[in-house]
Amino acid sequence: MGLGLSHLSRVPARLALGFRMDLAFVLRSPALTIYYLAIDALLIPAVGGATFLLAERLAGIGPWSDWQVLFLLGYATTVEGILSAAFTYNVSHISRRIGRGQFDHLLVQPQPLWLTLATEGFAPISGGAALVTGIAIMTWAWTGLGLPLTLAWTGAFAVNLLSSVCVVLATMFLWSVVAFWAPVAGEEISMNVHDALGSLGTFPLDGIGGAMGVGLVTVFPAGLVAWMPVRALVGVSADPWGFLLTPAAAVLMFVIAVPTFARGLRRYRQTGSSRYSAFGHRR
Amino acid sequence: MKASPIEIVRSLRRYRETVWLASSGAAGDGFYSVLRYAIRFVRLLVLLSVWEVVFASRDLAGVAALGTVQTYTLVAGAFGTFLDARTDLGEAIWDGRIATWFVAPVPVFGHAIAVMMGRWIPSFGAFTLPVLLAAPWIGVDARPASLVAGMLFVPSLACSVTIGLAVDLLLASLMVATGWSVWDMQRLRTALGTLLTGAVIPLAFFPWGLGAILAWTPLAAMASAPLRIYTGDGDAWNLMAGQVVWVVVMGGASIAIWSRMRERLVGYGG
Amino acid sequence: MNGEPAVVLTGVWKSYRQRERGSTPSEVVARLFRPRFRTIDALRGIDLTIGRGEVVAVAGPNGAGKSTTVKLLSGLLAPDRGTVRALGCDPVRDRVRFVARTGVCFGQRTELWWDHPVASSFDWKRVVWNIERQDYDRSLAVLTELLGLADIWRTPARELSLGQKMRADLALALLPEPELVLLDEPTLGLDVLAKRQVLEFCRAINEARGVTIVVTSHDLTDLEALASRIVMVHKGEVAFDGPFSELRATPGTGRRLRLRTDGLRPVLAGARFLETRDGAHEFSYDPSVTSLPALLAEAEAQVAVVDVETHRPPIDDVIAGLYERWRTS
Repeated sequence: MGLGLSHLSRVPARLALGFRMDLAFVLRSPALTIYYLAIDALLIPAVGGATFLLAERLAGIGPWSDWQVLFLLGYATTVEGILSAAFTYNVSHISRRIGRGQFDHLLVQPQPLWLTLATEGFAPISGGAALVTGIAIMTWAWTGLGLPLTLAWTGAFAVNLLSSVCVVLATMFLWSVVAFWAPVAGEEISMNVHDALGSLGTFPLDGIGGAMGVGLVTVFPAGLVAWMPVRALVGVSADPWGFLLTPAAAVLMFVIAVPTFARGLRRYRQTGSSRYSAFGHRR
Repeated sequence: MKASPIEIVRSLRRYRETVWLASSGAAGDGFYSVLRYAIRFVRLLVLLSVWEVVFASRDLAGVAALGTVQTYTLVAGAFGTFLDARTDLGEAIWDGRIATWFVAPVPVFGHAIAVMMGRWIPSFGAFTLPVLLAAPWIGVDARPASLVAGMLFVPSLACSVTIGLAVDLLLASLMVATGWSVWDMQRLRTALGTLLTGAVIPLAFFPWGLGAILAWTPLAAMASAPLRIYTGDGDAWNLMAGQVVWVVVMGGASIAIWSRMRERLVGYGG
Repeated sequence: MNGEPAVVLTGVWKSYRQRERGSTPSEVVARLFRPRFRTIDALRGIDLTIGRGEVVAVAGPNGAGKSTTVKLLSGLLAPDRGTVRALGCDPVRDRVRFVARTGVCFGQRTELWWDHPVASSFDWKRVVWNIERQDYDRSLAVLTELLGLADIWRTPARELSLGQKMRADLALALLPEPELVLLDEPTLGLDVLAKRQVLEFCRAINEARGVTIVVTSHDLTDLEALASRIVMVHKGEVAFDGPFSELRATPGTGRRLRLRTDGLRPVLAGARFLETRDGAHEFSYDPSVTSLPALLAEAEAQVAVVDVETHRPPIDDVIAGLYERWRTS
């Protein structure tokens, strides 16, 4: 059963398809779309907005200034925005597809599963509001911080941003494996994980030491959603290796998540799904 | 027409059956069911630690005491499900399931609330109670500020639940009226709940006088009011009175809208 | 059968382990600590061969293993024991290659994109299945005509009726011109006209392109109209495999006699009374035991017979009789 890497050449066509479908969706009901975009633009940052308000009230949190906290919020919103734009339709919330018995819809497609998961959730327009908002917040904070825009910094920023996305996805997929064994209990587990990562990911976690501190950058990597990479990017931490920790963690999590998910998939092929609900399927 | 005692008993039995079925549904997956509570517990522990960091780096004596804030956060976490009371109403309307609720011999709202309460049972047993019992080991004093505060917390929580249910119905009606999806309604509610109810960060910590303004809203009545009553922050009777006002206003508005939207609600969805 | 068979199941076993749920509070709590499971054998050593171009109906009582068979054939499930080969592939191991040549349609599960018009779902299918544009246009033209897609082409899937959704889903499954088509309850919930359209379409593509079709359904009348061969599955085993005519010839099926009389119902020693409907009395009899002339003579001796009709029993009754015999045996 190989990885099907020969299908890599099909990724652009799949993404173009997603873009086309999303554009048509947006143009069919512009009023509804404006609502969706406004909701996303306001609500996704709102999850971390409490942290920002706290920083404003207290003129910063710990060693973080309010501008740095704002950048942290923008970064976390951008991570969420990438997930919304590229992995919607419950691709990131894969536990819902598994728990609702909708995984069969993926298995009847003549392409490797990784290609389906990488491209089926691509909705850059209807899901792009949070991305735009996150970038806007980061830009505003960046001007307030007066950070130099060098090639090295930009490269480190891009790599860390994508690594944070990878960390969130890998964590959600890892926890979603539960749904292969317990479809009822596991159906919403990706949502639980996502909410926890999202709400904790916007907090500056400096000062949290010991086992909890380690845990927040390993087993439950809320610290890698934004805190760890942004510490390095905005200069809260002078550690030169700070730029590398999140990418390294992303690679490690990916290496763990893939075979774990494959194990769950093997179980699914043996047991099938005793439930089926069309709720949320391709909508 | 007043219901006879037998009819009341039969009604209660129907609700009891619904509550029981809803509570036992997820338990069928054994200990996997508690995984989501483990995630919530981790989140709570981190929030408590964040407050320690915040207080260590700033002089907040004039705002609040660390112990009070941590109690506030712990209780908000433990009772989180109750402070954000939600039914399946939106989903049932979205996928048309509500049509079957109308042909059951129980009020539609009653059914929705019974299902909600059923789901509360495992949440209370697997999360709320253990968190409160584990508080001393976490280093947080989970006791209410006083006996009166503890006693008032219960009716305050009931008011919070009622307002939450009214918000639920209002959002469902908005969904039907506008054609917005149930997921957007849920996201709207989650974001508002996270930010504006005081469930995550006490309103006293909001800048620009925002906290004082939000304290007058029904959102604050859902979370901030009962938590402040519990921790003894502010006049408990005033806070309760504010909640009661919102119960009347929100409850009345939701009933009025429900009556008008009833037929449209049933025809909506799949 | 021409050449290599389309489907070969050899000694296929498939079991499910089901967790037993408690019904009382004490049971639920007890099962948390000591879970109990029971094993259900959905398929028990099934052997089945389907040739290219055949149309095979798979039927059986609820829980017999029909849907499990379709899922095994479509690569959604792996057998516990035995082998499954379809179109020369292992449907699980060669999934991508296999499903590109297979069309799968589950009656209660739509492949359509909910908030998008039907046209968008077809465009999606064209891209994901890598269908060349000229093949897509040709196939779509045929499907549009045969399944009447023109009137729903621009309608969002959420606004389609069940019958319209089924037609669209069937067309979607057939769009890549598959060699093997698997239909699981395709006529469930459809009205008479929609059912007829679906069945006629299946027959048409089988005749035109030699597509192998495996269809499951509880509607045996539909299956008899479509399939040349029926495989009856009972408790995970093949209880019958052959043409419908052979199924009808199994002992106990008989024929039906409908008598319209002056109102009175005759008592016939050689026939079993079934029902009176619309003034006609229906009987079941075994032609190998009792002749029709003898029955008519017996009836005329008692009442004035106005009209006579004999016919085969509805296939549903034949099957119901079989199921009843299985249940009581």
